[in-house]
Amino acid sequence: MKMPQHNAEWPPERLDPAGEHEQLCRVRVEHAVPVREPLVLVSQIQRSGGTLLSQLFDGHPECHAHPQELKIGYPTKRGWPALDLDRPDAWFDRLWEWSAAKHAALGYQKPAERPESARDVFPFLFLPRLQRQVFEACIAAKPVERQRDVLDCYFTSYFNAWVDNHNLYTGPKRVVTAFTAGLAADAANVERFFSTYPDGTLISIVRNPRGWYASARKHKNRFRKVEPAIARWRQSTEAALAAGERYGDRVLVITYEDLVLDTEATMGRIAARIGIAMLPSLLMPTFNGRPIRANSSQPVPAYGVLPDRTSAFRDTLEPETIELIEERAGDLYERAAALTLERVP
Amino acid sequence: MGGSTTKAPWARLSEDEEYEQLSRVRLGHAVDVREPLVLVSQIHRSGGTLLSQLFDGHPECHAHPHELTIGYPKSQIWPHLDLAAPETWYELLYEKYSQKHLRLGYRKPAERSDGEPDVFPFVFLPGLQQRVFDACVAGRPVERQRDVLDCYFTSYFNAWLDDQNLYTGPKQAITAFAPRLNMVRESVEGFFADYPDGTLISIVRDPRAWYASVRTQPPFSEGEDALKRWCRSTESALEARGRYGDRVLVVTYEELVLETEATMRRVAERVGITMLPVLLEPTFNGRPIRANSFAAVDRHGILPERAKAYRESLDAGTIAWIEEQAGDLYERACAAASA
Repeated sequence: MKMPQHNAEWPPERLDPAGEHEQLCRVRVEHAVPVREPLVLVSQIQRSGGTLLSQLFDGHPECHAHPQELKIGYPTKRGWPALDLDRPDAWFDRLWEWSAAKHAALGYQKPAERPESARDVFPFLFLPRLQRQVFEACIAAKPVERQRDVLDCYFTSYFNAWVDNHNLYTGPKRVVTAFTAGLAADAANVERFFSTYPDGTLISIVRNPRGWYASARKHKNRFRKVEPAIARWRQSTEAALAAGERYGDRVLVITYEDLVLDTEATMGRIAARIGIAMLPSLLMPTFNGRPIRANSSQPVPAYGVLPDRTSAFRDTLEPETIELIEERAGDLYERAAALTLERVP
Repeated sequence: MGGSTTKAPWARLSEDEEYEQLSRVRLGHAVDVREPLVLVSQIHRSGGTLLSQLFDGHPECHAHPHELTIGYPKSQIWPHLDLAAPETWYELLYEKYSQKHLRLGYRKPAERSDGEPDVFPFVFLPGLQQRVFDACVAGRPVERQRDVLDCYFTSYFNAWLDDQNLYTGPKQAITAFAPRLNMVRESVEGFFADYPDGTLISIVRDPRAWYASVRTQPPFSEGEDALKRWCRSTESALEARGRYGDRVLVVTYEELVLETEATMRRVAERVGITMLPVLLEPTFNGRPIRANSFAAVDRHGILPERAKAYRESLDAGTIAWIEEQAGDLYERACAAASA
């Protein structure tokens, strides 16, 4: 066979980087996947398994799974946004999540207690300028009559600007899933959430307060002292129970212990409630389809759900601390656990 | 980092900077593509596009989404690279269609009952592809042509930004479709020289149905010339099977569309991937796609009725003539397929 000399079609007509960027944006805007499904919002106090649950939804073909903590709240992430429908120029800036740009630059990682060299870092290809273009095109394409219309366009812009999203084209989609820590502790937020998403679902995870405190005190300074920390845990749990009372089947209270000790049954119940098929992908935490290790306060050598975390507090808490927590919060946890059994079909 | 402080936070990076950042991240996290190649090759209009679309979406495959055109000087000539001239490698392998598909989307022209072709987005950056290729070649010793091809496929699948199947795995194979490459003996030799662990799949279609399909499609013509090409493709498949044994798999189009599950199970077993339901539905980048048929297609999925549709469009005399010219050869191919 003759050795090649020269490819007559070389060099091809090439675009410069700005040209390729423009082409990419044009294609993505033209073929944008509309994201209008009801929101399944996971919310409770930190260190209760919200990241885990959101990573169990990742990769389910019927979910648009928001891959990191949802931060569309204003003035802090814990406030459900209230948009002025007369100020369209302010919508995108108000909702925009800076963390998407951060993860686009640095990759997605959860620091937990791991040294930097041992962290899982996942690529996250996301273009803020493309997001803005998709948002503008979506808003221009249909009348905006409710805040939900704006949020639909926001999620459309988010998932289409996430260029390496492995789950954009699969479907048909049933829900958008997202996790925001702390939002559900305020009844006014929950009310605004359901006002925007009357077809949405709030999932609140309640973690055994002993296990929760052992994890939370390492996570944030404000959780270091046991009494104020448990007061916050109580506030979150009471808010979840109150939301369950008020909104009935639209609120699902589950325990962290059910989630990690009986993952298949618990995820099966959640799937049935929110209207998605039970699939094996719901049993393995992933980020954009790749297995991810737990965001634990302890070293994590393996992938998957970690059932041993439910009793790890016994190795780290003193008996008197355990006793104090049981006294302050044991009954409330029992109520939440009973409600879980009662509500989940 | 550019931009003034008055810019909105989402506009902090310019278009160039966003592109640069995206390229940097992709390069930093590039997925190595070094798996054996499963090459589907036979004459046109035999089901090659269909089979390549059945592989699409399988988590253990890097499925090349359109015809593989790395051949040189024509796509059916397996490339022969000069290992002493690295500056020519990318140039010779480069597939111009990826740029076209970025611009216009991926479509197959065939007829549609509604007159509207399916157009699929294909987010692929040619500039990024060359950067990934250059980085890959610089990052490892290149001792064989296979090393260059591994870098080419690494560059291809990582430059395809909206590939819904890049991160899944573990991968077992690259799949691709290159029509007529099997008809050039040196090409088959070149393929197995580079991929001794590879598999060649040749699809043989009933010559009556094939003729009914091909006679409407340029650049084929009606009559003896067309049928001779079918015979050459089929003889080449059988010869390769005889020469390379289990590394060559002969499949008939009819078993592929009439007994899809059994056939794909056999194919999966042979190429070393798990039998999954995705192997039963043709998709493009995870989305169902309609057949690339010469007749109107009003639905997704496999069209078993195409196996017998020739009876509507060919007269009895033509059918008898084809059976006389190619019937025996087709029977031999069927026997090789069932073996």
